[in-house]
Amino acid sequence: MSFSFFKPSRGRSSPAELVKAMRDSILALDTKTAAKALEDVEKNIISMRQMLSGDGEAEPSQEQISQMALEICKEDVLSLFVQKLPSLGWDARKDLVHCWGILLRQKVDSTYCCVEYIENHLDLLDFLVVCYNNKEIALNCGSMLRECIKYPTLAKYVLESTSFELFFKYVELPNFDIASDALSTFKDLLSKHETEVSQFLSDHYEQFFELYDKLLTSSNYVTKRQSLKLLSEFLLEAPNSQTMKRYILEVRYLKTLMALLKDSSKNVQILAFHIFKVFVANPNKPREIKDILAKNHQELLMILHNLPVSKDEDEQFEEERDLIIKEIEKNSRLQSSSVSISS
Amino acid sequence: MRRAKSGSLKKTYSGLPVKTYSVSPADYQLLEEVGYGASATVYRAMYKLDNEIVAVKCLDLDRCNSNLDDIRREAQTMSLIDHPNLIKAFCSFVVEHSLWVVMPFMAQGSCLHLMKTAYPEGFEEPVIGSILKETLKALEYLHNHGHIHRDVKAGNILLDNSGAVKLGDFGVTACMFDKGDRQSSRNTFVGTPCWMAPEVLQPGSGYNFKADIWSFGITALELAHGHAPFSKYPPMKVLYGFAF
Repeated sequence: MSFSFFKPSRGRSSPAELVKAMRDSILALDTKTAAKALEDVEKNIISMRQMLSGDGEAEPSQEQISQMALEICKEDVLSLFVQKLPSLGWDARKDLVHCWGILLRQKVDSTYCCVEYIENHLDLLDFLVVCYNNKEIALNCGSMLRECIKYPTLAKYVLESTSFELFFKYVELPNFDIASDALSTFKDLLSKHETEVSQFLSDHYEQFFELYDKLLTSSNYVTKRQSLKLLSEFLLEAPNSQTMKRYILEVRYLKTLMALLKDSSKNVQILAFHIFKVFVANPNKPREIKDILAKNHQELLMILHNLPVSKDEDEQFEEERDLIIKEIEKNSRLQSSSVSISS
Repeated sequence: MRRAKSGSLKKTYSGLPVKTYSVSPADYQLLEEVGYGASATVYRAMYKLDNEIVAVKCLDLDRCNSNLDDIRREAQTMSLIDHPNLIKAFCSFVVEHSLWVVMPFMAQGSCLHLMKTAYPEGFEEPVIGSILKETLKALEYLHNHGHIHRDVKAGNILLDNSGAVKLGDFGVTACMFDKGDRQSSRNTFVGTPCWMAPEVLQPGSGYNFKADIWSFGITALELAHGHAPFSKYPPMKVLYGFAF
């Protein structure tokens, strides 16, 4: 039974018709009448946006939205959106990004049809990642990519793809808006899906942390500070505890954090402390870690005592700092006594 | 959220060739300071590759304690807008502890600055009308694209030598689309008290783009009198007088 009788008639085409028109106009972008086609594509994108999110007067109809999502997959228009994004105008790209998120969220007959479509066309994700190289569309593609990686299967693909390594380069791009957008995608990849992330970190431990160490020692202040913050966010998460335990056994990473404790920025110092403390508090410190802490104990104590504490810094920080100071003192006593016994 | 008219907007502004600016600090020569805020200083500067005068806003990132996400959002808003009445960031890049944001230089400064130096009693009506009209176009564009400015005031309306009017300073802009498909209400507390709508001052009540229209109204009074209503009172008094 159809209730179309109750729908406001606004002389609009149906989702299927609109998708068809969209497809034809996008395909015409490669023909001689490209200028006209571009105009049509942009018009169709505006109609799509109205159908998906309303026009301020009428609420969008859920039935039409679902149908739209289905048709877009069926007609491969989702692929065309990604491939042709660079050819679109400024506003059309923004409208498209807006629609992209809505389309991905549509659950029709208990499946996310657009997400499923992307699962079957994973090269679209690689394409979106590479777009960070294209200043014109980097931010649009970044938003689309973040919408995709809200879904665990798609995030897992990006994490394990060869494209993932590109992020270590992108977060240091000189254009701040692009670099910081890449960083927020990178952050989402490493924090949104616990199971996938912890699996990824344990499978790719060596390679990942070697690249990550370069971010922590970057000469770019933002890269250094943000990657340090992000590290404490995912490394200290319960599901990643195995990875964390492995990380805090490594002398080279301890050295990185000791250098950051001495940084000229107070924000970097404080952030570094929150990872450094885990190395020190570890009850099973390997010999080499103990040696380094003992050898540098005077300098470390001085740095720790001078850590800038802001007014709103909680008591917990003070407590932790005292604990770490005591542990370093104890360690240095034990190390020197063991040295004198063995010598 | 009317989208009906966006077709004509689009044709007017897009399709212009985009000039790219260098992201190397060596290509900019900072001349003199033209403004400053809590953690940022704005300079008039020379873009050496083109001998073009620009404004460079230098933000001390190490003074932003909480996190840099707000700054990222501001930079993105500024590079994702394209409207003749809005200050657009040409580019931004990190220089030691600071973020440099390169913007068009507005030689006449802000309306506030102009009133202070030349029109202490406010502008004449036709001038106010045209400033407000241009500002309103900027707000229409922002709202259509899902942004709330949240700090509309004479101090943020800038003028250049050709008489162009541009709304600037997106330090506090919010995105209405952050949380869902359609515009949602915001729950945070930012802006400058005298210009702020009651719902912005009332924590927890949530507000939408209408808050900018309130501030716009206060700005109209400000342009007519040379100062905003209640602006001679301390900010806390304004907060209590209005909101409670």
